[in-house]
Amino acid sequence: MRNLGIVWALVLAVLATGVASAQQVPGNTVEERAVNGAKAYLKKIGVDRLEQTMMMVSLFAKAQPKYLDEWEKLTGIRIKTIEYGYTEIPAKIMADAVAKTGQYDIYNHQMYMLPDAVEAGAVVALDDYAARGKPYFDDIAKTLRSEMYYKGKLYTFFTDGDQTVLALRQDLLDLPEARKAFKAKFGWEPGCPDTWKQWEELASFYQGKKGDKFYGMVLDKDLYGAQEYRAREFGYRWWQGRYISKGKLFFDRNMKPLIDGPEGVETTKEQVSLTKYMPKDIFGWGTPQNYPFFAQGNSFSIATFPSLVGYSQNAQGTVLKGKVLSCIVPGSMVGGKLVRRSIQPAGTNYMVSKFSKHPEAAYWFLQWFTGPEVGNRTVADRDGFWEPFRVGQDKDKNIVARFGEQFVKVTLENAKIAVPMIPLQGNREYLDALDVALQEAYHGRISPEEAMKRTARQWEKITDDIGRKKQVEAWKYVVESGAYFDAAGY
Amino acid sequence: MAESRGPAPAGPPSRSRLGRWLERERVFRILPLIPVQALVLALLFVPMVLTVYISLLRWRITRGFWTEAPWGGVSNFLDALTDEGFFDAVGRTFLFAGGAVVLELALGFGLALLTYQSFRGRRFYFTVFLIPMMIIPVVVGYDFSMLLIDTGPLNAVLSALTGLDVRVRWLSEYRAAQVAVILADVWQWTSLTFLIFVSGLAALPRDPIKAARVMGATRWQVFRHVELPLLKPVIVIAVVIRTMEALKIFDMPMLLTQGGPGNATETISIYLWRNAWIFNKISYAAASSLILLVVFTVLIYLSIWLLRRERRQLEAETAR
Repeated sequence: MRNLGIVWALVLAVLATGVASAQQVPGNTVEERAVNGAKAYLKKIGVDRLEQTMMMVSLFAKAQPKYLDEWEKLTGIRIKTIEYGYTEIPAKIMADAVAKTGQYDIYNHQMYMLPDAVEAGAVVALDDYAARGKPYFDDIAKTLRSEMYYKGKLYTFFTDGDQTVLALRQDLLDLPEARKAFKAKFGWEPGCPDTWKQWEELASFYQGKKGDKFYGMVLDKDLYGAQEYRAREFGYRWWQGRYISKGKLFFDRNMKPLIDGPEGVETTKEQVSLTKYMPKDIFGWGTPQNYPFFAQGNSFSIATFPSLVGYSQNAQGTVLKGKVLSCIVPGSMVGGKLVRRSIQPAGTNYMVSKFSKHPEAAYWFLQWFTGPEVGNRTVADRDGFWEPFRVGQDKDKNIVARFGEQFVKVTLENAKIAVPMIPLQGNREYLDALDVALQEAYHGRISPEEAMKRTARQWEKITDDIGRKKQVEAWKYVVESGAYFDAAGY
Repeated sequence: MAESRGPAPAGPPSRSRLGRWLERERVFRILPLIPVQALVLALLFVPMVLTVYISLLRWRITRGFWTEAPWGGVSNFLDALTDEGFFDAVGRTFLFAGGAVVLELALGFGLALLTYQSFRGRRFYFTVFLIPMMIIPVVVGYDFSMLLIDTGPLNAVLSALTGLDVRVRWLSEYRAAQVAVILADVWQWTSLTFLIFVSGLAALPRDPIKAARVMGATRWQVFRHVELPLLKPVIVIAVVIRTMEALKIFDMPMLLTQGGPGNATETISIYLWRNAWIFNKISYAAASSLILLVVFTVLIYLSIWLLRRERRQLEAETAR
């Protein structure tokens, strides 16, 4: 009997190995397996060519087509694109979830869109395909990787690390008299700040009016100490990184908001306080206004998307070529320890539509396009807006040539501490409630305490409306995946 | 009676029963209405019933298809009626509509009076005044966003005119942004009120005006006591049309400020759009829009009542 058991076990093991190897797509690299997988799929459905459609963020209209052409040459699968502005796409995906048109095979948007897209039944889980294609995620920071999953299932791939960065004016930091005076006043050498408080100290020092003498130079225009987004749809993104750096989560385990505690109020107070060193126009500025203002030398520092650094190097009219110092985002002292957190305010991602006639074919494109080799090419692409995030991208000559070594090293450090924007169903609603309250506080219409109380009240309402039990379960996945490191309150 | 229940009259032997039925006067009268009624039913009644039904559910798009959504009763209506955001958005919408319509009426009327007189180049000005209405709102919104940036042309012109360094933050200050939205709307839609008033002025009966002049009335007296009363129905029409349109304002605040700063320019249309398509709360948006439908219907009926009253008064005065 015993021998018979061993024989059966051996037979099963051989069969299992055979099935597994039959399932796994051959190929030495992620990209090779994707191409082979796509070819095998076409063979399976008995066609040579296939056409698919991607709902694409219009920002990528110049960069994306060359990769789509390459994919078509490699596999015979043509992907045509339909472009929309990134603000329009969430509504388009939701409309598609209702209408179930099957018009799109791939949705291209940003990481925070994932929970709603999953709950609306608009996208498919990719785990089964990934089990065969073996994509490689080990070189992606754990918290960024967590954003590819929802409730433990893989739904999206990305090839863009949009974690925030702080940029300072190196030319002003190099002024010897200013350095001496700054150190005498604040007790530390001016440079990349460790804490948010230190950033405000820098902002308060490196500013002046047109015509003022500034440590050996005369300001030829007003110099503002800082820039950070304060406009509707933007300000709340930066608030979150600062808040999480205070070591607190957004919700406890029952989804009770924690943001109306001292950490939330302090975060808002800090943001309101820093605003006085910014141009008044900041309340209406998005990226198209913030970037040129900084690049034209009007301010000393800016907390923004990482593409600012490349912009300051190359944009028409820039006066900051070679004069920008990239910094790891500042942090807060929590229990005597410095905690830095960089928010992931966007991050271009790709999802497979549940209504696609050929979801597997769409999957193989995602695996190929975001793989380590092609992904590195996209990040190095000067036509694109894909930023570094993978460990080792600082060794890629093309990426370094595009962004500069100092920036790449810093942004990869920021990737390690990146955290997501509330990756829960209804996150736009949660964040809009925060956004509106923050706007009121920025404009001095309500106090930071009131802003946080209002937001917490709204968040409770939203949670109840969506379904507390469901949100509690999803939040548990988020926290346990380590998306917010060891932030407390759960 | 065209219909007869007796033996069929002698007619062409080939005529079928269907043909005879179609020839009945009552049938013939009703038949053409059927497609129209079907269209109305399909385009208005079905969506309306569906909207009412959906408003009674607790449907978010993230809860699957609407047929799977749980029943909510009147909870969405109660939520809307207790939501500050809803009332704030309604209030702002009336503020924008009120401000914009008053200015559009005043300017449109003024321009109509100018071009109503015959003068050299009248046709040119007439055409120029009509152009804004023909431009796509997205283009107007984009142009205004360029004109109104803090370092943009409008502040430059104001600085040149006043000799001061004018830096109005049209798109980033609460009040200024609200004014900016009204300005953009006024610029585009004064054309419409202008057109309505020009048509009204052109259609004024000449006899009462001539009679007043013969009796020695001044130009102002003719305008105040003859032309203006005769124009009242036209004014009411302009008010009704523009108010109804202005209450739906979406494109201008969306393009200029996306409803910001804060929610300073978030109109009810933006509020509904956000709730439906950004927050996926379709049932809530349906309930809110039904509340608005009731409010707007009352307003429309009030306006129509006003219009009829003016017309009756005018007819009575003309008869006297």
